[in-house]
This record gives sequence, structure tokens and C-alpha cells, in this order.
Amino acid sequence: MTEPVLKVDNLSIEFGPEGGALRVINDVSFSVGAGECLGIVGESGSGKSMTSLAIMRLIPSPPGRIATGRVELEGRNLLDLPMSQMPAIRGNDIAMIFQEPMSSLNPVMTIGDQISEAIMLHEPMNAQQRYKRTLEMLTLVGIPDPEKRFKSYPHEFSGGMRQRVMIAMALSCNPKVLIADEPTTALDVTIQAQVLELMRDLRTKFQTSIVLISHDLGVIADIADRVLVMYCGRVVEIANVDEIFADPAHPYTEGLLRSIPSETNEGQRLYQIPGTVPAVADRGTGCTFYDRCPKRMDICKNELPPHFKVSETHSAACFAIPEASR
Amino acid sequence: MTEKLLEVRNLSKIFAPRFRINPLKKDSSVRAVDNVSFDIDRGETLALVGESGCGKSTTGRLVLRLLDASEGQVTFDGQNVNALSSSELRKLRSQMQIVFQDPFGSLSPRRTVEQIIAEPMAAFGITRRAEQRERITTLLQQVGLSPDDMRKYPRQFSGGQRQRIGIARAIALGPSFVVADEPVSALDVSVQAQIVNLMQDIQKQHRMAYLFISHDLAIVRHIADRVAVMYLGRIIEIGPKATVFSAPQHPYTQALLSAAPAIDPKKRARRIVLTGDVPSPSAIPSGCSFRTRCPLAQPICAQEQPPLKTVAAGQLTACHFAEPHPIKIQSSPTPLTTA
Repeated sequence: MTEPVLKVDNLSIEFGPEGGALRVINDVSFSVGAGECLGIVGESGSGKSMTSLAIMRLIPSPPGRIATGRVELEGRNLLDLPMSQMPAIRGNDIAMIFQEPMSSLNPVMTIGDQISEAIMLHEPMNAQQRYKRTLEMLTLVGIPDPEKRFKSYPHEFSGGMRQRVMIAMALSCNPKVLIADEPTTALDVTIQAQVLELMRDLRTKFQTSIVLISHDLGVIADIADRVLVMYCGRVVEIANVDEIFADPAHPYTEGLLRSIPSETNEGQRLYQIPGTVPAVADRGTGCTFYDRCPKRMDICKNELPPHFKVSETHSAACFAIPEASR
Repeated sequence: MTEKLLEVRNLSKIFAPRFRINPLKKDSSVRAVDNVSFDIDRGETLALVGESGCGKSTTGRLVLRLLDASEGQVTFDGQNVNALSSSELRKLRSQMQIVFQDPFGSLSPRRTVEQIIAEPMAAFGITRRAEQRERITTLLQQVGLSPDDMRKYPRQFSGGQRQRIGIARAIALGPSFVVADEPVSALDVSVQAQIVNLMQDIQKQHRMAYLFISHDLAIVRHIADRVAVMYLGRIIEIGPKATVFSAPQHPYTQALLSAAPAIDPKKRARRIVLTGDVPSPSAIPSGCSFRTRCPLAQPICAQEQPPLKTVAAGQLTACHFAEPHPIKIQSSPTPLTTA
């Protein structure tokens, strides 16, 4: 395998005062290769977005704090860099798109100017070159009539078009890594299909690595190569996309998959994961899924399961995985 | 035995500005719902699907007369809802209720759960505190909450629990019809399953009919008996769930079904990606409103609006090119070429 472009190692994030801090992210590790798409799934509060913000060093501090870990971009630890160097990396090496395109765009600036601004900050170009590049980007993401649209304001665009503008802006400086935080959640299905298609295209064209965060397993199955499942701030399972959907190893992943209505469970009662996600302060020393787990054993209560390898590319943090297949 | 509960005929809603701001500009009224007709039987679930702005929620509100219709008629249990006086309508409200999408916005933050659920009871003459308490206890147990939760405020609950409170309020008076307007869209996957199961349990116990408004086709497939697909204010296809999902006749339904991301890799290959956006509802294209995005569009589509016609038992489609077909021969959707 080639060297990963982005590597996150033992990342932990705490909130609150020193000593009494709550860990919202615990020992998260993963890597993304060139042109690879890693999907991060989890329910609200599982720490998906927090992880992506940490990569960009956008955790509000105080009260937040990266307690341990490394975030390596092509071998360089971003967490060691002085904060003053981060703006040169954000938008240039790592770009991000958010869920709500309307609130991430400036309402009083034309979309052309907003894309040009991103280019101006990172690329040595004159105004004319920038204009040309912006038009190229608009064409690339499939916005018709780019000369005219250059002068439009965000409110003149539909949700899908705004998300295209966000993607154009994110890709305008050829980032190595694109972090997409719920990029299609606010969009309709037919528009979602367009945006996913676009992301797939761009990935093959530019070999951009994508970290796609979503709670929608369908979207993840559609576009990701590998999938990371998060629960209560921890990675509970990581595998290739086909493995995870065909043969989930962690009971939480299994429960999630079974609770989605599909053709196979049509007409039956949907599976419910019992209980609710425990609050951050109520998480004990054992497995965070203990209270809700159908396969729990005595050992799970007080001991945190390490990641066991199910196959070369598949691992899960669960004691219930039979010894033979570890 | 099926028994018709709700009959909707030629329902339309036009939102018009009260006066024209710019007299030179053309008419800016919006036809949000256009000539919509459907029936719902007692105990049945009709799902209304479509993308944002297609008029699903407006239709739900028109049916309950939370909005007054511009044209058309709603008959509920033999009564013409549009003709009722406000006091008569109020009486009928115990029979028809609504569950909203946003479990945060639809519950008053300053009232306890008890006050929230007791309000509809008080409005219908159940004013004795003890009786209210007793009923609320039963209701809370029914929706999977504990009677002790009565004294808490909505902020003390998670999204899924709040949706349970919203459901308890809606069924407090034993309605025979509930409009569920995207009841699970704001919830996490595992919580969605809980609420869907709960809604189905309650439906069985009380023989309630649902108008289930959703954009999530997987959920609709699970809960609905019949499905109506809306596009720009019109129903473009309606029929039994099984046939609409296995043999959709309208190109929009086909595209919508194929666009939903599937976990099964075999189903991903056949995706129809529609070009362009939904046109603005204030400038609906002439003829068939879907023609601007339709891969099958012909000149006739711009001139004539296709009527809903029967294509299979109980399935009606509004497309010039939909043909009646025996369901057994064509069991999978016709693969369309991508534009």
C-alpha cells in the first residue's frame, strides 16, 4: 500500500477544565490514502464532526483541547505547527465542505468573488487568472452559464447549486484532502444523487482523498471505499465497504444495519437497539456499548475491548468476536 | 372490510400575494397544490412522497384544514370539512390530528409534559385533574415513556423521546386519522426504527389511518399501504406500495427510486441521475411539469398536461407514455438511459 496522505493517530479531545475534563473523542486512529474515500458513520453526538474539526484544528479552545494524538498530513504533524501556519493549510491542503451550504456562504458576496477569494489566499495569480480559474471551477462542478452565475449571490441559488459552489470553492486550490461533513444531508434525493456523482467524478479526476462524514449508511455505501463506525467518541469498527455491509463484526454496526428498513425486512417489525446513547459523563471504564449490547459478557463491563482483526482490512472493538477469527 | 374515511377531491391551494409590489412584474402567485385527489380508508397508511417544495406538507395541512383550500373538497367520515363552521371544525379536531417533523420546535419549552398532553384533553371537556393524570399515565406508557416523565420539560428529553411526547399528544383523544409530517426525518437511524415501530403499534391498536408525509423512500416502503408521489404540487403517480415500488410507471418515480442510495451494491449500478433542479413553483412549466428534467420528454409534453390514468390495478400515472400493463410481466423497473 502507498503512504497514506492523511493519518490520524490516537486522537483524543477533551472539553472542560483540566482535571475535570470530559473526553468526547477517545483514541481515534485512521488513515486515508491518495484518491481514497473514507466514510465515517455514527449517530448524533458520536464525535464524527469533532474529529473532522480536530484535523483542521478548528476545535474551539478553550473549552476544548486536543489531549493526545497526532494528525499527519503527508508525514507532517499538524498539531505541532504554530496556529499561525494553519490558515495556509486550511483550504489549500485540506478543504472542508459543510452540511448547510447557505450558512457557510457569505450572503453579501457574489459566489464568484467567494471562490476567487479562496484562490487569492493560496495561489500566486493575478486577477485575470483568478477569474479564469473561478469560471473553470464553476464549469467543473456543473453550474451552467458560469459567466453569468459568477455575479450571482448565494440566495439566487438552490440548495444543490449552493453545495456545488461549496465544492468548487473547496477544490479551487487542488487540496490533497477533502473533508465533507454531511454534504448531502440538507439536499433532496435526486439532488443528492447529482452531488455524489460529482464527488465521485472529481475524486477520479484529481486523486483527492475524501473523508466523508454521514449518518446515512446508504450514502456511505454508495461512495466510500472504507468505512469507520464511531460510537460515543470511539472507533468501534473499521473495514472495507463491502465487508462492513455484508458482515459487520461489532454488535452496534449490526444493530444499525438491521434497524434500516429494506426489502429484506419489509413487513416485519424493525430491529431496535435497546436503550439510548449514554451521556459523556456516564461512560464507565468498560465498553461504551455495554448497556445496549445483545452480546455483552462480564468482561465488557469493566474492560475496554481493544481492536481485534477480523481480516487484513477489517477490525472491530468487541470481545464477542470469536478467538478463531481474530 | 375496508371503509372509506377520507375523501379528497380536486384540492388546490394558491398562495397569492395580497397586493402586487411591482405592477410591471407578472403574477407571482404560487400554485402549491394543484388538483390533488385521493382516498384513505380506515386503518390505512397513505404515504405522500416527493422532494422539498412539492406540496406534501401543504396537502397535509389542507386536509386538516389548518389551511383553507382555494379549490376542491375534503370529506372526512361523511362530513364536508371545508363547509364546517369553526365550532364544528373544532369538534372534529379530536378525530384528526398531526405529528410534526421537528420534535424541538413543536413542543412548548415552558410547559411540562403533563401540561402539553393535558391541553387537548382540557379543550374537549376532560378537565378533572385526576382523570387527566390517569390518561396521561396510560398514554406515556403506550408511547414508551415512564409516568414519572410527566413533570419534566421537553428540554430534558432526547429527540426521539420528544417525538414520543408529540405522538402522545396527537393520540390523546383517540383520533381516527393522523397526519404525520416527516415524523422521523430529524432522528438518528436507530431512533427512527423505534418511532416507526411505535407508530405501527399504535395504528394497530386504534385502527388509525395515517397520511404519512416523507421524502425517505425506505421508510415509506416499510410503513405505507399505498403511495402517492408528488411533483410540483401535482400527484403524478399513486398506487399500492407493491406496484409503485416494483413497477413505477412515471419517469420521475423511477428516477426518485433509483436515486435513493442503496446499501445493496447490486442496486447501485442502475441509477438515473436527473439533470437540473426542480423548477420554481411560481413558474411551473406548461403541460407536464416534469418535462424539463424528463429523459423521455417529447413535444406533446409541453402542450398537454397528462391526466392521471389507470396503468394497473389501483395504480394511476400521469405520463403520456405510461401504458397499461399487466403487473406480472413487468416486475422490475424499466431501465432508463441516463441523460
